[in-house]
Amino acid sequence: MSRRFSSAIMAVAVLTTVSLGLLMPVNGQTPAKVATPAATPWTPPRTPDGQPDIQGIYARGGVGGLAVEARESNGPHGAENPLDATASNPLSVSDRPDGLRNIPKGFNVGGTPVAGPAPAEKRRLGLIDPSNKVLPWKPEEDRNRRDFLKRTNPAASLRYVEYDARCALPGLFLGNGPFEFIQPPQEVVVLSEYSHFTRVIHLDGRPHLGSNIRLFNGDSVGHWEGNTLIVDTTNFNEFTAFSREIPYLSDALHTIERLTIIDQNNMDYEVTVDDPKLFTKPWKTAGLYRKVKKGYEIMEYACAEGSLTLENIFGKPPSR
Amino acid sequence: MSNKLYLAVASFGLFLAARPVTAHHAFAAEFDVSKPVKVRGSITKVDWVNPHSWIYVDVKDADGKVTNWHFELGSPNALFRLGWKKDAIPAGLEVEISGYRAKSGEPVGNARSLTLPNGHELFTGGSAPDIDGK
Amino acid sequence: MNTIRRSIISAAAFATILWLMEIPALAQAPAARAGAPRRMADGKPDFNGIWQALNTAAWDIQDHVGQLGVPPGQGVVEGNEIPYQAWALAKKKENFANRKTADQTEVNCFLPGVPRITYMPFPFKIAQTSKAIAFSYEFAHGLRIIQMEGNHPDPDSFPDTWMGDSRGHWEGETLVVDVRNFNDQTWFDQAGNFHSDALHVVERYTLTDPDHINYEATIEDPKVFTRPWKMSMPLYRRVEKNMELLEYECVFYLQEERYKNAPFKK
Repeated sequence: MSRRFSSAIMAVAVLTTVSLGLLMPVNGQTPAKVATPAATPWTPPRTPDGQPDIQGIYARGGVGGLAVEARESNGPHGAENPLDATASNPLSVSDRPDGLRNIPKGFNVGGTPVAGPAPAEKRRLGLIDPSNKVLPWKPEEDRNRRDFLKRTNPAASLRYVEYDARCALPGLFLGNGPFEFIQPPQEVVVLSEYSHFTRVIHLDGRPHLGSNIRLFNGDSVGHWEGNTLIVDTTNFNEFTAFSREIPYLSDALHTIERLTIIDQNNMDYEVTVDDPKLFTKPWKTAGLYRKVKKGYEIMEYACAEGSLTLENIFGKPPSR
Repeated sequence: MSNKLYLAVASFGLFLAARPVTAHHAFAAEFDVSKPVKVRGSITKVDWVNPHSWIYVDVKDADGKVTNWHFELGSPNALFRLGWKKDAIPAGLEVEISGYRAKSGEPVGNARSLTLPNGHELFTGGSAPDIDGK
Repeated sequence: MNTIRRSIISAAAFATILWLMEIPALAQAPAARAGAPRRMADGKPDFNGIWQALNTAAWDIQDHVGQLGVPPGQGVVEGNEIPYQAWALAKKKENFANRKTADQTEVNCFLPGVPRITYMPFPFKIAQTSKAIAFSYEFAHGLRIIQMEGNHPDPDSFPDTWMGDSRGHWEGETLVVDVRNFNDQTWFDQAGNFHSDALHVVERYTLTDPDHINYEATIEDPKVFTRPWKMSMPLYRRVEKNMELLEYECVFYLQEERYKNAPFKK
């Protein structure tokens, strides 16, 4: 199959598409600047145990600072590839001082055909708290992060290789799924195509795991408030990254996610990141889950089995 | 470019990106964007694996010496959904591959596109940036 | 008193009749442990929960003696014989001899395939609704989505998989899962029992009571075996309070070990 567009044009077109889709009301008028209430709020069906039924497969658009494919080819550093670490761009990807990517007007949900239109009203996307849109780093931890990033390309040792590139469980933020939501009694189970992982959100009121149990995905407990699922996650290990530019969070990480049903195809997503070892206060970023077209199936994504990344970076390890 | 944007706008919201997101490793850790490469050769093997498929080609140089190159492609999941079929690029097929060379200097690269004998250019859905960068 | 006793007996009889008739609406209340399996709202037997095999099939699916590091076990293969073609029997023996380097699951933590992932010595979770069924395994966060609609993809155009493509349907009380689209990279155990990419597995899951599944897997591979053959075993519910899957990320652990002195080249 030949392509009429280069991928970059397609990506730009797509982002414009998505942004217009997100900004335009269905009747095609100029983008609304203020969210107006929907004419009829969506009432979801219920599962047998009374949860609002959100089951299905979703693509997730951004969460602010994720590896969004948009790239300014002649960006602020001229013709440099923004992925190259250079003296003028030591952070290797983002040119923001706090490491968070500039969020384009729309989000790329990753090449997945969606079931229906984007929500009619403009959504909050990207970093939404603090309102000045700068991450509240502890100054010393931000310095540590920058020093760390300078040793990632080339990777000085295994520690400086992105966890993502090692096929590690991505935790809450990385990996674009798509995600299949299943709701057995007293649970929301989220299946990710990317890296074939499962997140279980327990709704049965159980306590978190003991503090000596540490997980890449953390331990999630949640409850429904109306049409919003609230998820509290603790017990992260120290191997969670937020994005390429924020290559590690600490084991003090505690997150609160809110998934709010907009309509039968769309859910707002918000996550509060509270990591008191790295930041002076919690911060919040937002994204969007969009249901994919019927007939789409999750495929196997075995990662370690086919990955040559560590060998390509470091060479073959000596055999025992 | 404006024609194409209008086309994209007309289909807003219902289909997103022919180019899937690969959320993982940095291209720049392994490959060098300042070393574009283009080879023509005969396919010896394709590994349809995640996170990246790999294609191996025997490339003959001017002296007739054959080097087996391998190139990184996108995820087979993405390739399959882009319409690639395993039996469409079998061993023995003569193809042209353009992309970027590995930093190591080995005959390894990250492929941006593959051109079939009939002239069709297939984009690989991989993480390579675009040379023309529009 | 007579009236009360008669009422009690009638009630008991009535309850028993209902139990025997398995009326879904009335069977929604949790069944007694040693009784009928729980039911979903749609009437299907309820497999939700965390399960684990309790045998030594992961080491060797046939009868085997104990050795250092290998617990002894009675096999799970019906008839204890695996009907290899002649060339394949030789290959199996070669695999066994090389198992310390050739078993990709034990050596590299690669996905174990089906049915081996069922009897790895780790728990797994079944998540079931009327719309979807998924099996999540603690070992290497394995995942199998059991598609209840549609057909297997065409193996000529679709990428091979480690864990197969699973299509499920109900036969009475039994969940039947048909699995194809395998690659040839996995073994059935650490003893080198293997298959080709023509592998076809049919699994049958039947609840014998709320806490036990009778699991059967029929193996068919015309490139390797002379006929289909079968393994079977009970699966046990992990009944601990607040039981949940944790993470066994052996790929990560191996990388930490193998690359601790990286980089290796110039």
